[in-house]
Amino acid sequence: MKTNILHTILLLSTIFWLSACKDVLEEHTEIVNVDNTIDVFQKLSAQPNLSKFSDFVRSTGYDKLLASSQNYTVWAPTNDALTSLDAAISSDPAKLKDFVANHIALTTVVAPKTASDTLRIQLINKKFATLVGNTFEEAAVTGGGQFVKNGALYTIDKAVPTKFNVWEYMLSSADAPLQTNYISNISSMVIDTANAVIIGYNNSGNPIFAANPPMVSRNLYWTTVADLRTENQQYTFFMLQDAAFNSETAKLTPYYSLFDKLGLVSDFTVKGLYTADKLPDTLLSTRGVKIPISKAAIVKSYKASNGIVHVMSALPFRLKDKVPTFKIEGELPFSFRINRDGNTLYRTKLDNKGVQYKDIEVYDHSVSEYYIRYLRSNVPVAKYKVYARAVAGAAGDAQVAAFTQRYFIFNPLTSTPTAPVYDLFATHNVTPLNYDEVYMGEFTPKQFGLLDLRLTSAASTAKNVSTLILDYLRFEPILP
Amino acid sequence: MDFNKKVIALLAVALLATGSWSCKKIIDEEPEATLDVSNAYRNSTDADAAVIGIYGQFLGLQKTYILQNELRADLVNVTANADPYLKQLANHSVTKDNPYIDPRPYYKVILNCNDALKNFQLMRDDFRMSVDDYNKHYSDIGALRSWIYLQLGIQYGSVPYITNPVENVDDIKNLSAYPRISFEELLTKLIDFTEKLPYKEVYAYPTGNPLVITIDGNNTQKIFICKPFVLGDLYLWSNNYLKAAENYSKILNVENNNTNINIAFDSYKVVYYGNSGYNDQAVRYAKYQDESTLLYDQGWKSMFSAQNTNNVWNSEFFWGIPYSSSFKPGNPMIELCSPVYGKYLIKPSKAAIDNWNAQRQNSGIPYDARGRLSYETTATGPAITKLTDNIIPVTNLNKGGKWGIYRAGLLHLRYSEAANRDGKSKLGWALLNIGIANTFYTGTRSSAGAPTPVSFDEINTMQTPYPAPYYLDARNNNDYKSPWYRNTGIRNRAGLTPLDASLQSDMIGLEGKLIDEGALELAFEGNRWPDLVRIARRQNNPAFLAERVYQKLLKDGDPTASSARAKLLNPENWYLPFEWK
Repeated sequence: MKTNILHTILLLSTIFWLSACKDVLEEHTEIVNVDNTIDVFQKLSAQPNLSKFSDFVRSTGYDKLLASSQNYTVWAPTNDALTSLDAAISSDPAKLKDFVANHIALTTVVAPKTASDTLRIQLINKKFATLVGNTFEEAAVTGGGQFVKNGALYTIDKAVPTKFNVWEYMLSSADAPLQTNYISNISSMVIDTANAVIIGYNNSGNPIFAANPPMVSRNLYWTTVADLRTENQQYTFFMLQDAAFNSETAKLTPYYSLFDKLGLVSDFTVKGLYTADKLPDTLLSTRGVKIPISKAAIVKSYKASNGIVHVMSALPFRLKDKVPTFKIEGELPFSFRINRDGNTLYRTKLDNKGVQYKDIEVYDHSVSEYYIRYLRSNVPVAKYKVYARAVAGAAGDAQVAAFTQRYFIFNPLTSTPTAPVYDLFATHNVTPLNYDEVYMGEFTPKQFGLLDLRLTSAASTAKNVSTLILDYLRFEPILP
Repeated sequence: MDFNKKVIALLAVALLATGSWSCKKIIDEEPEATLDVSNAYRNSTDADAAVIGIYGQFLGLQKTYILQNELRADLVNVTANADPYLKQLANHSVTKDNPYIDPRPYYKVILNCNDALKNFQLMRDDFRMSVDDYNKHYSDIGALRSWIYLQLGIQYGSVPYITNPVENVDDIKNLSAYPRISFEELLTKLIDFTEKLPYKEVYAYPTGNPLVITIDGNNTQKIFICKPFVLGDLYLWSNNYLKAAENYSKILNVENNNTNINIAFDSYKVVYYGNSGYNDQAVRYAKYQDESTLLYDQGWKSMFSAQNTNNVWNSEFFWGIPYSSSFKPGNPMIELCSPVYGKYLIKPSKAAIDNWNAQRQNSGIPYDARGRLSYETTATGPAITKLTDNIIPVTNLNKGGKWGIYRAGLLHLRYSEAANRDGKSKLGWALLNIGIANTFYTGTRSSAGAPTPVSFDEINTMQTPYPAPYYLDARNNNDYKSPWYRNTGIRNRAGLTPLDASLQSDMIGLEGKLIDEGALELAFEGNRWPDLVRIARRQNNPAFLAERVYQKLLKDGDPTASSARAKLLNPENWYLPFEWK
């Protein structure tokens, strides 16, 4: 009997010992440095060196937010930091509210681990803050994060007033009045869909609005280049001082005519953030044009909430970048004379050097003067040398005989809306297995803008005669 | 001993005895939900059930089979999601604790086969089953066991060859003590056993047999092993080319006399597309030359996705086991291959993709479209689709599909390999490239190159000038069609340009090209490692295997590529450690 009791005790103690082990394991995974009894606002108001900021929080009503059940992170400037705060902010309730909101994020943020780790955090005033290592925007974070039941609190050594975004900065600044004036006024009127009355939907699912819908103005720069108001993107934006703006515009006038200023400002925006010290000598604009940058020409820089603005005294664009060589790719047509889909081949082949290329072939379509239409917009006025490449008779191609195709180009001067006129530009004799570009002649657009081109087949319905083949047309400008 | 003690002792004994009797009664009761061994084999229906049960268990081997045969070879590699054990398989650094090299799953099926085979014999002897039924059931399970042993031999080299039944699970533990025999010896024993099977037809059970039915939308005729193919493979591994070709040709010609001419002309013959579901196995485009019009739900890919009752499947496959989305286990390849519905553990290697991209189509499209029909490019990376293709696309709720094992493309490559080695390289070239009629025809042609025979002598060149098993008749004109007239060659079926005609007289060269073609036609299906080992072994050229695996690892950036090559240059390292735990 005694042994039994002993065994039982031994067994029980083993179980206790096992459970004791479990406790040790739990300790390893326990989160330290968390006070789950108080909320962010309580933590903030309990710290005497943050009392000014906590007063601001209370006066703007954000104290209730910080006591709520969602998670928040507050970067609180010390009292010392707030002594130098602009009185224009502290005295204006709306500005003060925005100022406070610029220090609060709706999430629990764990500070970046190393000096180069970067975080971009959305703040509750919709702006984004950048945290690199131990910083919050331009302020330094002192000490570590203090975690409580609904978030975290960090102490920072500077107040961080709300910044303009790139667009707001451009409108408010007087650094480049000609540019600002031009960009802010290139707008078009569009239907105000939020307030227009929808009376039905068309067969492609788009709404039909009641007659005379309300219209609002929309800036073309937002839609054609970049919407510089977007807070969750980062842009590098250049502002060119008046003298340089005028001289650059003048360079473009012969090629862009009325659209010279648009042609210039279209290449003032770069995606991504390039601070002055990190600027390379050349950047690519949003549409891919090279921007030559001399650091000596930087007059000043403004760090915006969604990027950076550099005010420049010069941006000497090269003409060959602004009036570039371009290609019209055969396999990217805009439309066709009629639907001959079954005869239209989008081909992928290897050329005689083993390089892969894509082209289009319309074969045995039985339409006399069938055409494929190509469009290219914003073509500058210049004299172009035009080269065409069309390969017939390669592997798998039934078109092994030579044939003729023609290029017609829309003439905006002689056309009327009801009777478009296409002038014959060139006739292309396609010889089989010719992989070289063939010179088609010189072409000068009648005016800046749309190039509207038809690749037209022979006036015949016969197979092997009416064929169309095009790899590409290359337009090479002749520049001074 | 005083009286009292005696009484107590007696009582104790009595009590114990009572206890044991009552216990016995409980044990003796017939279980209601499970089948006792003594009642398992009473009649032919029970034998049918045993066969189905074994195939059900056999299905569980697919995952091991595909992983061992593909991941160790050059066409499949692991993704970043894979566990270290899979990576070991891929770069030939397996440790003994690797779960994917455990031979026990194979032996579990083998032991069940052994048990069934013994019981089939007992049933025949007791007249519980007819001799005819016995022949078919016994041969089926016997051939299946040979197939598993061949796979074991390929992967492990020397293995224990156990043919006697072991009913008791405990006995399995002692199997590690069984003597192991070499791969050569194993092949000899397997050929001996399989050749002596009493029923060696292409289809295990003829139409009308109770085992051949359509159930849950699937037909069971081809879920059973094709015995001539196992025999053909066994002979091919033993370098007995004539016997291998004899067995393969049995399948090639099995449907020649079918009254349905589409079955007669198309089944297992690798034919051109002729506007019928029976011959829709070609890589097809809606518009010639236009790569964007590649057909996915018709043509080459559809033979993997189609149900096994579909003509396109039946003209190509002669052994494949369907998974049902309604029952477990479901297709295990979804877990391995799919980034969306699985864990995405394996992917096509860069080397495999490069193989396809190095090919040229007759239409000028500069790659082999079978690549795009075997894997897809996803945001996560390239993902194998061939093993998860199904008529109802895979979803979380639908994990169906098929384990396709034997098909015409494989058959033609193996038969060509045997013919090539047996001095009939031109036949091998024909089946690989442009088909029998086109290769052997020497008569008049039209300006477009089509044969237009003007005499019987010319027509008569449209057949192979060899005796059986190398005789294939492709003669045809407007009035007469021979069984092989639609044959078009594996590369031509895929729209690829033919290989150089000089290979028609270059045995070693053609042998390599046949294996290269396997990488394009049969990728991911579980044939790659055996193909590489068989050729490297036959040519006594370990570099044949080592170089290809090296290229896979190199192109996928595996730092162990060089050490894997060095390892594989020693044939002993081709085989997995046989670890019985």
